[in-house]
Amino acid sequence: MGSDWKVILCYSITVLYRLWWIPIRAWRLPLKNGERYFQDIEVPEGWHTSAEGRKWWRRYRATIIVPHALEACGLMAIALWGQWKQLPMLSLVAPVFVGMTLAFIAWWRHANRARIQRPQRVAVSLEERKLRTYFSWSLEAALAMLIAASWAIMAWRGDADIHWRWPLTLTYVVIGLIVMKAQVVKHGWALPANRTAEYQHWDEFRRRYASRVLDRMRFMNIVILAGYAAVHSLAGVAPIGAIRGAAFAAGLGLSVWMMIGIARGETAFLRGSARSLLPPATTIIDWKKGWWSFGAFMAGLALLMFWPER
Amino acid sequence: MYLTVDFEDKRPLYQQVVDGIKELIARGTLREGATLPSVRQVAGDLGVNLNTIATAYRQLQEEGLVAVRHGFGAVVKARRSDFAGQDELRKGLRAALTQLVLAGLAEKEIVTMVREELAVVGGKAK
Repeated sequence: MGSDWKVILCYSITVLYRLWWIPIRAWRLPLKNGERYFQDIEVPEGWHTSAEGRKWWRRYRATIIVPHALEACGLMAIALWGQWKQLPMLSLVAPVFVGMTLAFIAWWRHANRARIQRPQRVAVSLEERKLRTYFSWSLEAALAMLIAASWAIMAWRGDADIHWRWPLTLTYVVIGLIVMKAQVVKHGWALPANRTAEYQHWDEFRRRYASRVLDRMRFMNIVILAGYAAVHSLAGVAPIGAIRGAAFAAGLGLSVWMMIGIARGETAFLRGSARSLLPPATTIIDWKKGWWSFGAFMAGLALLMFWPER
Repeated sequence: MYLTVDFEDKRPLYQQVVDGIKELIARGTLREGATLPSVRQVAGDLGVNLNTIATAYRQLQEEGLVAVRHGFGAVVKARRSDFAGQDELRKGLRAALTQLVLAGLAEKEIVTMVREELAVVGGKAK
C-alpha cells in the first residue's frame, strides 16, 4: 500500500464524521424546530405521516442517500482495483450533496411559499457590519504571501511532475472561499420585531460559525498548496520526506480542526433551533444572490477540474 | 439598536425608515457622530430596493439630521431638524390633533396620549 495509508487515513476521518452526523443529525434535520415544522416551514398537525408529508420526507432523504450511494460505488471500485490514490476524487460527492440539499430547500420553499409566514413587523440592526470585524488583515496578508511564495517557487524551480491544474484549482478555491466569507459576514436579514435581541444573537452566531468554518477550509487548502509547491520545487535543497510529512500533518490537523468546528457549530445550531424562536426561513432571505455566486463558483471549479490536460 | 418596520403600515416604507431613525435620534439612542449602516446593508437586510433606503437617507440629510457618505453609511449630524419653523411644526401638530379629535377622543384623553408619547420620544431630548 506504500504511502496510500495517508490518503486512507484522511478519508477515514471524513467517514467517521459522517457516521456521526448522518444518522444522529441529518436524518431528522427538517424537524430541527420541532414537529410543527418541516425544514423551517410550519406544517399542519399530522402532516409528517400524511401522503404529502411522506413524499417530501422521501425526497429529503434521497438528497442524503443518492450522493452517498454514489460515493459507496466509487469506494467499492477503488477498493476492487486497489487504486487508493484516487480516494480524494470521492470528495466530489461533497459539492453534489450540497447542491442537492440546496436544490431540495429551494424546491420545498417554492412549492410551499404560501405556507411561509413572514412576520408583519420586522427589525433590522443599525450597527454597521464591517469586514474588519471578521477579517484579520495581517493574517490575510501573511496568507497571500504564502500563496504568492508557493507560486513563485513552482515557477522558479518547479519539477516536470507539476500538474498545474492542482495549484490552480487550490488557489481558485481559496479565492472563492474568501468571497464566500465576505458574503456571509455582510449578509443579514430582517428579524422578527419581538425578541429581536435573541434573534440577532443567533444571527451573529451563524455568521461567526460560518466564517470560522470557511477560514479553516481556506487554511487547509493553502497548506496543501504550499506543501505541493514545496514537494515539487525543493528537491535537492531541503529534505522532501520531512516537508511532505510536515505538510501532511498540518493538512490533517487543519481538517480535523475544521470538522470539530463544524460538529460543534451544528450541535449548537440544533440546540438553538429547539428554542421557541421562529425558524430563519420565516424571515426574508434573498436566495437569488447566493444561488448565482454558488453556481458560478461551482461551474468554475468543474471547469478547472475536468478541463482536459494536454 | 434596531429600526422597526411594519409591512402592513399605511406609511410608505421609506417614511417608516425616516420616522424610525428620527425617533432614535430624538430619544438619544442615536447620538451625534453615530454611524448608520450603508444603504446596501439596510436594504439587503429588509429585502427592499436600494432606492427605498437611499430616499430615506436623502430625506434625513435634507432635514440636516444626517450626513450621507457615498459608498459607506451615514453619520448622525445633529439632534435638531433644520427646516421646520414654528409655523411648520404647528401645522404638523394640528393635523395630528385633528385626527385624534375626529377619532372621537376627549380632550383629557388626547392630553394624556400626548404626554405618554412625549415621554417615550422626547424623554432624553430636553
